[in-house]
Amino acid sequence: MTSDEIEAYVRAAAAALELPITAEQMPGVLANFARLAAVAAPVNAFDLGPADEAAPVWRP
Amino acid sequence: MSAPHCPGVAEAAAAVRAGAVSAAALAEAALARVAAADPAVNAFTAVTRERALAEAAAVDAMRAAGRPLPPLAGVPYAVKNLFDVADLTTLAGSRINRDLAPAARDCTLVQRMRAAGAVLVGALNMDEYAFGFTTENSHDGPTRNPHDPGRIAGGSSGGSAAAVAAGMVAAALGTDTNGSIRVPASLCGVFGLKPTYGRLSRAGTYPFVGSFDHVGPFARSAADLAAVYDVLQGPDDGDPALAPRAVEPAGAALADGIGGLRIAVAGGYFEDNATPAALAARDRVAAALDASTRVILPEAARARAAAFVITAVEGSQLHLADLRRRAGDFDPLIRDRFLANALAPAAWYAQAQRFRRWFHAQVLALFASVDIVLAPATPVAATPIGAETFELNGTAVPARPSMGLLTQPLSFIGLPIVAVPVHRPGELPIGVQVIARPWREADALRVAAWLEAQGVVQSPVVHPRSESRHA
Repeated sequence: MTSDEIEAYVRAAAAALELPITAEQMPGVLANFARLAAVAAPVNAFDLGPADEAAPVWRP
Repeated sequence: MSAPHCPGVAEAAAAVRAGAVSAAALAEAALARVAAADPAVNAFTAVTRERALAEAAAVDAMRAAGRPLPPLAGVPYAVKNLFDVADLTTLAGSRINRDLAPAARDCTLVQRMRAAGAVLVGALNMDEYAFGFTTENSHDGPTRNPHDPGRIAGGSSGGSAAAVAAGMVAAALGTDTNGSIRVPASLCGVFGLKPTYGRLSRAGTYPFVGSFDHVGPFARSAADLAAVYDVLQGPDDGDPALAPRAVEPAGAALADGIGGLRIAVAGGYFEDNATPAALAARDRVAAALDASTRVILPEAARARAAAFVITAVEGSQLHLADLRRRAGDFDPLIRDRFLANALAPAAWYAQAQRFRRWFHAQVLALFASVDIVLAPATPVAATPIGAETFELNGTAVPARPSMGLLTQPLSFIGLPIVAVPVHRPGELPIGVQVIARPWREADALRVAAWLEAQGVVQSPVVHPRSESRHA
């Protein structure tokens, strides 16, 4: 995501969640969302099959 | 003011049982140590003096009546301030929770400690809502590392580790979602146990990330750790994640040594994200155990990333109502992260949860050929309070999230782990993770006890210094 796409997404998702973000908070929120997106990217890129179901009852 | 001697768990309970000291005297001594040491450490957010003296008096009355004493009779301890304690407000490190009414009753684990005869001395500092690895709490101030007051104690259970390290209490309870027991245990030089996910009841504790919130003890010896862990086990309908397991006491097996255990070191990610100091601690433990086999946990970096995503989503959703109404009341160190995390797409979360099961299966397969895996607990020793970065492989990495790099992939799948403290002369302590297969806490505790008996790991009481000594 480009920085413009991140900002557009953050503003739209915040509106959908009815989560107010002030002008003072916005730079920190954008920076943190960019960091989260970067961390999530390799997880999202991992190839999982239909049998790779999340554990509905977690029993280590 | 000089503080009285601080006995460990077993020593305190044995002295009370033998009548060598009263529980009341132990409680008064612990309170005196808190008064003497805590101004330099800032581990406590509440001291429960009246309760401590009442619980101690009850133990002394049992003894006077000739009744058998429970296992932890007279042992002073304290809890992270997210554990419900009757008549105290459960802060969970926050300003927002100060508006809540005091807890009506003790959480399950505090009830169990009380039934075991332990004496609650107070509640302990933490990162706000457990979201951090440093206990730099903007509302209550940072907890200072007893080894060096200019440095962090680690987090989020920083008050718990620091109170034990400084000898204010014999044991403490904390929680570990991504490393919040093992990181402060490493930085403060104490023993910490993160049990298997689902082993100990979390009922009555303030949650963070339900998918991998754990509770567990800190102490200054492996035997003390096991003694506390053993009284905490048991069924409880109040925790939906608690596994239907029988109580499996670990204390009795500690003297069995390490015979029969196949011990390996974790290579790859767990070496790539550790400084030479952390690897030296790991190597010292591995050499003592003659552990030369290396195992690779596949996709550990992705596991850490997936834990990060799940933490982001569950942790922020829990606080969404307050983020909408009063975001300005959150700790400024984490407010913007909570706000950003609340916006993560659902697909990221679902993918991370599905990946978690894949990773779990890979790691369980590894345990077919080994029983114990060793890895450093933190990439570095304690960093200065306020540090934004530390150096890892020649790169400045963000200090606060990176302190959990080596713990996060493991709590992600709920493995039981004991953090054992390696003390180096003239240097800050650093911990090593003794990682066992699910439900084999006893194996990790046996290894910890053996290492302690060999003098490889130990947790001496450290008397807090008033000035920073490590440049």
